[in-house]
Amino acid sequence: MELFDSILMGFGVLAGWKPIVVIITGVIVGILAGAMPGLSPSTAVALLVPFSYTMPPGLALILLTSIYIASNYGGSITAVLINTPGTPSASVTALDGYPLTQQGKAGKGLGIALIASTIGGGAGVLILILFAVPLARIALKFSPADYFALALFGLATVASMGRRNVLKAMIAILFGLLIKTIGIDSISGVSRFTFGSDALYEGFSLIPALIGLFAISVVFSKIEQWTGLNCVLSKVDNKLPSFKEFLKVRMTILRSSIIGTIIGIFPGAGATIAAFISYDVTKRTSTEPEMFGKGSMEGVAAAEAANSSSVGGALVPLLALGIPGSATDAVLLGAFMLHDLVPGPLLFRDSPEIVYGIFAALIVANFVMLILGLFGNRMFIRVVSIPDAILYPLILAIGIIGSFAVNSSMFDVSACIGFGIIGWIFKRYDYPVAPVVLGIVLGNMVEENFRRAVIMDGYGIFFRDKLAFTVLLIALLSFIYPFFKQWRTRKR
Amino acid sequence: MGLLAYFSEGTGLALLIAGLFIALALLAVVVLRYGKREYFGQIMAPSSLIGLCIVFFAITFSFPEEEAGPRAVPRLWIFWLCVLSSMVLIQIFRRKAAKDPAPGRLGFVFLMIALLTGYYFAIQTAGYFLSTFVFLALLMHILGYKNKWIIYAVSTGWVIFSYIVFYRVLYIQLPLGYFENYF
Amino acid sequence: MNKIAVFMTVVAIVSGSVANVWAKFPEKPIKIVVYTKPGGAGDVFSRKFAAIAKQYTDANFVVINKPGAGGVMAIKHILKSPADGYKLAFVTRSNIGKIVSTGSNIDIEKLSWMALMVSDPEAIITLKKSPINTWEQLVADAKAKNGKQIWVGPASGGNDHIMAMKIWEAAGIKTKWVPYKSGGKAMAALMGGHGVAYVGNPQDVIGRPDLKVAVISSPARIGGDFSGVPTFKELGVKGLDNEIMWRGFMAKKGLTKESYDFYMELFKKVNQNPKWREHILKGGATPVFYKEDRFLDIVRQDQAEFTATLKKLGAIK
Repeated sequence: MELFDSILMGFGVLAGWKPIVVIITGVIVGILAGAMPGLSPSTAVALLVPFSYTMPPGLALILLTSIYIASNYGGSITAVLINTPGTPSASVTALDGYPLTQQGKAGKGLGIALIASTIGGGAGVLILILFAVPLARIALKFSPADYFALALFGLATVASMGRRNVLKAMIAILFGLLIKTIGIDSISGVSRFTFGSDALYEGFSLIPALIGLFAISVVFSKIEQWTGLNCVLSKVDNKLPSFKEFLKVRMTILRSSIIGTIIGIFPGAGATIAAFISYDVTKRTSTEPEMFGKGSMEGVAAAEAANSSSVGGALVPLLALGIPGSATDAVLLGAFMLHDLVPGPLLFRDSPEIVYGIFAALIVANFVMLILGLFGNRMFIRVVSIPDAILYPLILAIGIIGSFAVNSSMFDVSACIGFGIIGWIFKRYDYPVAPVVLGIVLGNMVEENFRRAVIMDGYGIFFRDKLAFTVLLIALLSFIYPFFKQWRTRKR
Repeated sequence: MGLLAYFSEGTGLALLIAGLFIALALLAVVVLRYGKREYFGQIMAPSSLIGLCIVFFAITFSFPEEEAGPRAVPRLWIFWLCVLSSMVLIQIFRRKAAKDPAPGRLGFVFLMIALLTGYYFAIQTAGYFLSTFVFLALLMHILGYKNKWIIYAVSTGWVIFSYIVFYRVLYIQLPLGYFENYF
Repeated sequence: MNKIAVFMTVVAIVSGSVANVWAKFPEKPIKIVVYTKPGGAGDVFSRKFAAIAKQYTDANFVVINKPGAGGVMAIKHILKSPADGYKLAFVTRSNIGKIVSTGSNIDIEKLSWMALMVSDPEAIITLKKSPINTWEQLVADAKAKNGKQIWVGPASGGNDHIMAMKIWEAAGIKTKWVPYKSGGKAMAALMGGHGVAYVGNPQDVIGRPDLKVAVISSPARIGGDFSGVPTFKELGVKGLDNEIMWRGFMAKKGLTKESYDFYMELFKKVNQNPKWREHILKGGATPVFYKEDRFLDIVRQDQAEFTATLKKLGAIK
């Protein structure tokens, strides 16, 4: 009951018009920033930190966390409508969301993304409130070998991404992994493949690569097929998903929310991996796996529920232990410090009104997001009816400024253009681009944890550590299974 | 190993990269001239990846050698990337692979890439705002949008939007180029 | 009474003349270039500084973030800008490490190392509930495990790794260094029991009651929450009495005397500001004000140390 009282106190903090205005502002900023390629959740929150400096600490953190949770939904809007994921994790949403738009069902794609995000976000926050401390303790116990196993499990999802050609999907993921080895090796301190350039010292940033591979490359592909006619998509249906369609994906949303929250808790895993893994799991357990990649509502729901629920998960280590679990957490940690607050167990004791205020605000923010999203969808959907001759130049301009915004660096802009060309070539010859993103996201996690585990205990650790061994075995089986199935059907 | 270490940095590396470029160019000529023309891209894509792998593999020799050190993991990726790329090539020669897609308006794409590159340099000299306006207006014009007023309105609108949101509210120091000293 | 009167007159004259100088120099906003993204530790520090400095001048401060290559990009940005005094850069010791490890041709002599503002003692941090949490226990365990004891920390070749190597040498022990992407992740590993010690600064344990500072590198004990922490000297470990992580500000060399004096006066005032001192002391660090002569010596010494260590590790040639 103590918890109940504390939550009530949290809602008490929200009384008055100021906190509500702050939440609504945060959600609007979050949705728009999320939808803008380049302003990933962490960048969006980071850019608003200076802005929040002048606010009282409680309100400032409510603003920033509202942005955080809403931006994960915002990413899905551009992913569904123009195949340009606004956030890294929405690259999974694009796999099925954009086909829905192409079939004239943009309303359904956006609608299911919104509902899945709301439920997922809520589930993540609920788990955060109820189990933050015990979950954080468990997460600490995982060793580098376990992290390595989890990362490999993430890599194994590639098998479900190559629609026609798994070989090419694997090449794409290896390309991403190899690209990620460029830059300083944080284990040994050696700079690798930098060709003596300072700009490459920290390697390629994810966001410019993501924008290039998805957004810029799409423009190139469309330009290649340019007919000169400014054809607009003939039928744009803003009909929302029916209740029946929602019921069909309810289990997917629930399962993906749990997967997302759990993966979010691991410091360093994050929304993108959560989305990839839950998409993979959903495809494997689905009754119609052949629909995935061709506009499956289940696919969109799985990705969005997972990435939104991971927010709650990622806040677990930050609030319970003062350890940032994601890039956005690291920024939030700075925001706490700016207001002379230190997140962690002592914050629950010393300033409970802040902690429970954030909890309550996250719950409210989810509802605000649902309402604003329902209204917003009607507006967003009009993007599809912008003539291509206007839309494509704007996509390029957004991509360029978005790449620049990440690090205020022109090098990132050139990287974005370069990845755009690579993405265009990849697509032209039927190599999927989503695995490249997966490779870039997971590259460090795989390599660093592998080497850390070996430095600590030698190669035998992967057999001795029972959890790591089990997960590795599952990863291996889940990787081989599609090949096995293919081989069996071919034999018949 | 001493020989490989020579190619890992400096002149050796430059020679290696130049050599690989020549090899890829020769391959391109051979493919175009003597058959397999319809597989040109399908052959060149994995071949370029193998070329990239050779360069990266050579560079790994400049890293310190230790157990589970900086060499190990890149080499693992390089190994599999080469194996899988070779498998794609084998598929092509066993005629199991798909042909290249029919070429579309490639010239148009190259023009677009050139424009983007020009835009990239223009940002650094003429500043973000001016070059963005010109870039957007020019591109919309090239793509054949008829209504001039809408072109100017959208371009100006974007420039104003990026000035207010990015430059003013979010404090992102968009490059001003030569105009830097006037602000 | 007389003394106070004299004092007041002096204050009046000094502040009057200072006000005069200030009326001239900052004609436009002063940009503080920070090498971290917004919300990073350096960003937080610089914004605190700006907020307090604002009390002493009419000038506006704008914090701009130029992340990249651990500070090298920010320093290059400073070197490219005119030396008009309108751009300060936030610097820490780790930037010097990055200048060395990136092999960038930044010449530290072309920069004006204006003020070292915070001196943060290096410390060994351990897990409270672990059976190995004091210096004696660490040394005994390291000897028993014979090279298999695990220390965690940020990347190899950084401040903390170099500090760890010095400690091992001074204590005559051998252990393994397992690097993590960031200090936070390494502390998570320590809390999870994957290593026994973390090298950092006292502020790392603030708000994290699982952790404790086992030893501190300081000529004397520091006050506040850390008064119970022994120094290396007390424990009989020699040569580790003043290993610090510093933070400060620099600019491009060639400022006019007028603007230079403006800053010296400003740094002095901020250094004496009670709120500033409280903020820094709360983090277990010491607010100081070392001027250019002393600061530059420290920077040169750090550069030499990083170069030697990174060569030994094979990270640079």
